[in-house]
Amino acid sequence: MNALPNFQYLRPATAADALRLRAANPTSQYIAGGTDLLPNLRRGLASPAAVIDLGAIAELTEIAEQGNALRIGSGVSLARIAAHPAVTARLPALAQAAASVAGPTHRAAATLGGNLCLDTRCSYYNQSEAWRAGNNYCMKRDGDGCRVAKKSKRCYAAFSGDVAPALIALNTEVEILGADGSRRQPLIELYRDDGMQWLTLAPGELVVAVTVPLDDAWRSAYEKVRVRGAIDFPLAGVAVALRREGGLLTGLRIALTGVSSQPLAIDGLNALLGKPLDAAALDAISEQADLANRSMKTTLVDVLYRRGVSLVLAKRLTQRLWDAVA
Amino acid sequence: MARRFRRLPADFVLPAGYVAPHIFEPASKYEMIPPGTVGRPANRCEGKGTIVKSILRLKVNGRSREDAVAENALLIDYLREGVGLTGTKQGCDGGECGACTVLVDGQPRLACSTLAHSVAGREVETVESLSHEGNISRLQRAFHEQLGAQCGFCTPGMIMAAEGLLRGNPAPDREQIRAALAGNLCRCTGYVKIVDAVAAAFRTGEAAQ
Repeated sequence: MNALPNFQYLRPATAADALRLRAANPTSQYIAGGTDLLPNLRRGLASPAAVIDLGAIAELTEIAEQGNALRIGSGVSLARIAAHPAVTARLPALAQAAASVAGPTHRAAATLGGNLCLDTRCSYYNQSEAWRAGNNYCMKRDGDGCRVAKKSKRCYAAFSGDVAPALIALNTEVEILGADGSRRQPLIELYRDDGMQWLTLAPGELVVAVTVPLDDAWRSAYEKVRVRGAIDFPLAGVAVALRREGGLLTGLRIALTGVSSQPLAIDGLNALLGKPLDAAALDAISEQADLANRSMKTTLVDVLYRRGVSLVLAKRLTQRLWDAVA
Repeated sequence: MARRFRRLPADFVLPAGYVAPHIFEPASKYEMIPPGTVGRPANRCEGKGTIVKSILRLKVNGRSREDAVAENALLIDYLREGVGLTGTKQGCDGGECGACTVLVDGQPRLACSTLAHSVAGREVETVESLSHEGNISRLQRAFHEQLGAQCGFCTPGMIMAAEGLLRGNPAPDREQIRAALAGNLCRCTGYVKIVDAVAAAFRTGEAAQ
């Protein structure tokens, strides 16, 4: 019965207690659904002295409409998000993203916070101890140097969460609880472009909730490409939120996942606003998405395919949302 | 095609001094590397903590239990090794195959990606709970009759995932069955007969009512 490294199991009842326990155990880790962390622990990808289960914290499992925004606690399961009436009706990108994470049994356990803070993935990292030993490890765990980019000083493991790009396209704010109290920031600022330190959270900080604006003028959608349709991380995922007034495009946000160490918000789309969406605009979208794209050989599937397919998805979803309003 | 083997005559004897050719390389060719000398960090399996056992109270298949369980034990290891319920199968060990699916408070849950202590106070049901006094459940019978099981390794997980579905949705259509079983891998049946079996099971239930 010793599949996992030895650790102490802690189960606080409040977020404040969780923070205290985390501060008292410097090598501890938070665990929520465990669908990502436990397989990783089994492969020797971490060896915490304690895991702090957030599953008993009731305050993290609330979904509530606050004015014209929806506040979703980080402990809410992805299955609950995907089935929530306000999400399915008014935030389709979020519903589609939550419903496309792994399989039904995972989604019942996996939480919003877990998917937002999902460990970055790489075909040289998410492997058994024996496999990694045979390949002399990599810098993300036990080794030195990146196996994907040989001369690189940084890690290129890809961020593979599905929910983050959808929430970024929906202009979401994230609420973080730290030692100095709680703060709110745009979700995109939770991430940075480093496969090993992909979150800007300070040690011990906890993602408590997200606040998504409910604005019916915006239409949104999320789509991902994966190897195995039933359960898989995205090779590339694209979320689009679009606002159309008459024949004019008045708002457009596109976010990518799986193609960088952080979810990416596509820049340079403001130039397209105030005009109709024509072929030239779609080409510009494709060009901007290509510029932002940082696909590396972190999956068995070819980089060019992942890059290409993310551009196609960005154009296709934008066109579909544009046509749907008319 | 030339015959590659011929039958030896009944009076065949090996010539004196014959040494069989080494098909496998002798083990002495490989030197044993003491653990900890290569890049492998020492004490990986031990982690940084110590083994801590604490009391776990929960219900397994309707019976209340109280066991001293290591705090790092996975639910599947607790069920298979602690309780001795080996019906739940350990497949990929990474949450990719669904063979370890059990019900926690009636909801399908992957026992390989769940800590035993995280289901404290809850009710766990494994495939063993479905049969009563030697009679298999309608779902098990349907899997048997519709040939939903071949090698049978995925079957406990399939049945528990389907059981979870049928409790929440007594009359699912084929798409709903496929969606509910999407997380369960089968390498034998091609899934059609599994979906048939679940569909047949709920029809049996209708007939019984």
